[in-house]
Amino acid sequence: MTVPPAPRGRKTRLVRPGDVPDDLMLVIRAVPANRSAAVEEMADRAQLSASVYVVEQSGKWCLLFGVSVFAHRLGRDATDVLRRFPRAPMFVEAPVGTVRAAGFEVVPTGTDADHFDVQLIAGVVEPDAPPSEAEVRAAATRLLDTTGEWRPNPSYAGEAGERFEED
Amino acid sequence: MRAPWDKPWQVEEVDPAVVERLAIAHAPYREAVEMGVDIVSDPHAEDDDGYNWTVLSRARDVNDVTPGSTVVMGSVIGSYLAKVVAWDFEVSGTDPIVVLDLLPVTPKSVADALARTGSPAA
Repeated sequence: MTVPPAPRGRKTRLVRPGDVPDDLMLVIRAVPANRSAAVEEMADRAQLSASVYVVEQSGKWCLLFGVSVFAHRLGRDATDVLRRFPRAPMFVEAPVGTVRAAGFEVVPTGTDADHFDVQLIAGVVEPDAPPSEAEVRAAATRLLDTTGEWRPNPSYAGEAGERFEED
Repeated sequence: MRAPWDKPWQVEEVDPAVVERLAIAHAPYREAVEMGVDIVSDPHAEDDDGYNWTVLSRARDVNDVTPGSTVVMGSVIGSYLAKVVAWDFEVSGTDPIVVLDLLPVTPKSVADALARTGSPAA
C-alpha cells in the first residue's frame, strides 16, 4: 500500500515497529483527586496532540488524538513510572488488552520504549470535520473507565512537593 | 533534535526579533496566570526525543520561556521545574511547540536549597 505524503502543517509522529502485547501494563494517568479535572486534561491534550501530530493508520495520515501513557514492564511495579509525577496523589492503570477491548488503539510512539499514545478518536484525516470537544471528552471518559480503581501514588510528595521519592 | 541525556547544556536559540514579534502578539494564558506558573503543559507528554512539549500560547509571558530559560511548568497534577530546550516552528510560525526538559527536582526543593545556603538568588 502506498501511503500519500504527510499533510503540511503537521508533524509525523515516530511510531516504533513491533507488536504491543495485550498483557503490557500501562499507567494511563497520574491523576489529581478530581476525576473531572483528569478527563478535561486528557481531552485537552488529545486535541492539542491532534493539532500537531499525524500517524499513519490503514494507509492514511490520521490526526493523533493522543493521550500519553507509560508502560511498566513485567516484574516491575508502577513506581518506576510514577516517580516522575510526585505531585499527583493518585494513579490509574490498565493492561493494553483492556484498553483495546474498549476500542482504543495503543500506539508505540517516540524513542522512549515505555511511551505510548492511546488514540482517543481514530480515523480522522485532515479534511474531515474534527470531533467536537464533547466527543473527545466522552472518549477520555471511556478511557478512564477502562482503568481499575484509583490507587494512591506511592511517589506522592504532597501538595507542596516537599520530597521527591528515591529508591 | 538531540536526546535529553545528550549535551544537556545545549539549547536551540531563537532570533530575538522573532521573540519580540511573538511577545507583542501574545496574550497571557489564563490558566498559567491562575496557577502562577510560566507555562502550562502535561507532564505525561513526550515528543519523539523524550522531551515534554506544549505550545507557546500556553505561556504567561513569552520572554520568560525562551530557549535556555528555567521555567515553572504547571499542570493539573502540580508544578514542575523545566528547562526550555527549543521552540519548534515546523507546525506553526505563530504558535511554536515549546520543547521542555523536565528536571527531576521539585520547585520547593530548589527554593529550600537556595534559602538554606543564603543564595542571593533565593
